[in-house]
Amino acid sequence: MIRVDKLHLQYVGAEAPTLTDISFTVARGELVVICGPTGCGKSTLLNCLNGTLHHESSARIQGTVELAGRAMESLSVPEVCRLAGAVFQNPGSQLTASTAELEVAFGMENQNLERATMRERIDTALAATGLSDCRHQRTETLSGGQQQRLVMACVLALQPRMLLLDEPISQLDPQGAGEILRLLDELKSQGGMTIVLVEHRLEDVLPIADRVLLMEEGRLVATMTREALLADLSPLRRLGLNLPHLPDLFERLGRVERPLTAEAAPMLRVQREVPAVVGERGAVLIEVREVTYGYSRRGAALFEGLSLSLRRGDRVALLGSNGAGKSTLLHLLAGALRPWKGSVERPDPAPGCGLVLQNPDLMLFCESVREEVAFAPHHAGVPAGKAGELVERTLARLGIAELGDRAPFALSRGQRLRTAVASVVSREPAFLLLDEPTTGQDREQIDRLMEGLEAAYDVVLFATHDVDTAARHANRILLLHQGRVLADGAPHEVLDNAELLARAAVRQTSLQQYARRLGVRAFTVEALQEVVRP
Amino acid sequence: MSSPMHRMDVRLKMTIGFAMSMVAILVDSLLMLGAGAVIGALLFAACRPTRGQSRLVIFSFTLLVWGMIFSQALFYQNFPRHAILSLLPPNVLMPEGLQVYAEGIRHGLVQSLRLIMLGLTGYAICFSTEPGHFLQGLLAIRVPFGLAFMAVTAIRFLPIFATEYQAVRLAMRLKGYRPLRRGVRDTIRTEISSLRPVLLGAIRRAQEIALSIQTRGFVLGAPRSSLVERRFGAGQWLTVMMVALLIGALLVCKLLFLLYQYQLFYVPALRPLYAFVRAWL
Repeated sequence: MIRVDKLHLQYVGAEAPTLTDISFTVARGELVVICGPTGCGKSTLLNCLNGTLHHESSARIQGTVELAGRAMESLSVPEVCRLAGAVFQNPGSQLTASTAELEVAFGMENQNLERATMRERIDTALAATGLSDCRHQRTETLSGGQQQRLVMACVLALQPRMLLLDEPISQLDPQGAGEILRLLDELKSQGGMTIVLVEHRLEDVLPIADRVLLMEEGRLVATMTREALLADLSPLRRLGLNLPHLPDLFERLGRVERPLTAEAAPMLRVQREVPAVVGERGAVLIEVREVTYGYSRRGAALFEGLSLSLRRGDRVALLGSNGAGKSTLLHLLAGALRPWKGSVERPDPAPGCGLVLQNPDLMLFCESVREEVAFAPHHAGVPAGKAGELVERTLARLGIAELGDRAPFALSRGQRLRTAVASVVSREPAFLLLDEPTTGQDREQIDRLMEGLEAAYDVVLFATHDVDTAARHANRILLLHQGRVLADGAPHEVLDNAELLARAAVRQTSLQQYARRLGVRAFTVEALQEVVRP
Repeated sequence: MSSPMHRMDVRLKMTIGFAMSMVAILVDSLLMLGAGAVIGALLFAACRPTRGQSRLVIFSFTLLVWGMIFSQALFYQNFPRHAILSLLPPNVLMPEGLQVYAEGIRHGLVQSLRLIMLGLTGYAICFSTEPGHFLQGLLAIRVPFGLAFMAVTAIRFLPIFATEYQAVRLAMRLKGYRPLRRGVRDTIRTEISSLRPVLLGAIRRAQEIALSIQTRGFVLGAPRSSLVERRFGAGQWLTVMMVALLIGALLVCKLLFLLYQYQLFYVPALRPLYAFVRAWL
């Protein structure tokens, strides 16, 4: 269905090629996952398959890309659309019409189809994506998962023979991601759709994948079946990618089984119980008292009488679905929003707390990384000499010293995030709040960032969808649902309660589900490895 | 929301908007412009604005009217003019002193009423029309799809840009930035740089939209069908025709009057019309 042979791509003005000597094929009905470290050329490869680079870019392309036996150069844009539907990362930027129905119709209108045909296909596409009830709903009122399913409906209405998806679940909460993956599985198993998926959340996508293509620095370094990859996870380890938890555990234990789900995993014997880590709780640093706040005073309040305290030594993971109020709580804690009622008491004197926003790009407005990091000390009136030392120390701590003279917007996503964090940290706040710091990051990058921050701050609070990161880096979990704190406690108390997590649309990882089956309170591969017998 | 303005066909709204702008250009009479402003206010009320929207409109127009009348009253340069109040006598600070002129107040009021009628009508149309309906309306009046799509997409993403700019301001505030604290030059530099992330975000988003519509087969200028049937009822046609007739008549009357005023064309039989235009328009 797809054949790529000796593909080589270099952008105009670039020093090195983005893609070098890429060759692979994808058979009809196969689901192939492309993964690799950030910036390795995955998205560029996908854009070669959906024709946008061949038709609209001045990049120098050599080699062959064939869809259904036809060379890309011989296909017009509408012909490519009929063969391959493309879905991208951010659903909000892919929707252009006001209602779901008009959005689905857009592609068919471009193909000049009859009105009756369009209506028929809209019915089918919305039904296939479970959005029939949202037909006349405004697109901006749909949840993230629904918006991404709508994008899929738009593509399916064009009746393509293959789907090309670029990190379609990276911005979705676990529930939204689950909806998309179930849909892909159905399309593959029932409709025989050929699917190519760029994704680094291998834990989520491997259960439905047939093959995996591993990329590194623009090259295809391995093409293997799912089973072959699971048999030897060393290529994933070497590239610092997110490992599927249960296969990782079983490989560490020297076992041959590579289960992807808790149900498929053989029961291991538990040697001892995981000791519950109950650290001494430090003094209260931030006190939230009876806070009431909402998006609009005309509507219902999101938080009503919310009270909680953050203590010295707290490493808090704020879990909850999209719209649970995680970002709003962070803004209230940072003093960026003022409660309608109640109070948030923070330590004196200023600067108090640092907040890293969900979109770090909106925090970068200077011409160089060094200027960005120097912005806060400069505006705090720190003398030039001391500010210079502070800036260099912060750059080194965040591992971006060599990027000091680069323009922030020209960096990779991970580097931009670290620059945004550095620009906040250089103000020397007493505690740090991070809004979704793990989005689009590899495991290695996440661990390096979080470990550095945990060591430096009295309180670190981070909002995330990633239960694994919460388990690895938090000593306290706050579970938020529709503005209410459903649970507040140590990870072993909160993450073990699957029913409570489900109420907040948070899903346990396969490892946590397996640990529960074994009757052990272990939430990371390392913790479970220590207590089970191989 | 369902209000009379929300239910109105977007083409009819565009016609009303066009008619109001023609009236604002053609009419100089204080009374008629006042009537136009009242119609604008009625249209605005008919879209059932929220309290916040009403507050925004009242605040902005109060500032506008005050600024316009005050500046015209003080700096009116045409003759004849009659001072009704002396703020500064001649040769104190300025050779002519500072006077409030009656004609200036009238002129300021005329300009304000023009802006109010146009502004209120514009607000009413914007608050009551979804971007998708705008697109359908523009397509129905034969605006090329590429142009209409670009215009509507730009409008649709304006609130997102506003939200992003607020986030940038918040980030700057949280990093300790306060305007003017570090001097005017520093402030100007920082304020200009605050636009950078929003502009870069806009470019990134534009690229994503372009990629999205291209991969759904959009080719500029290629023939395309439409899911929405653009029906325009007899009542709506009648209204458009009446509005067009009225604007046409207004235009002809005003043109004949101007020809007469500049002594280029005079017909004695049209004297009642000249008198009507002088008195009412």
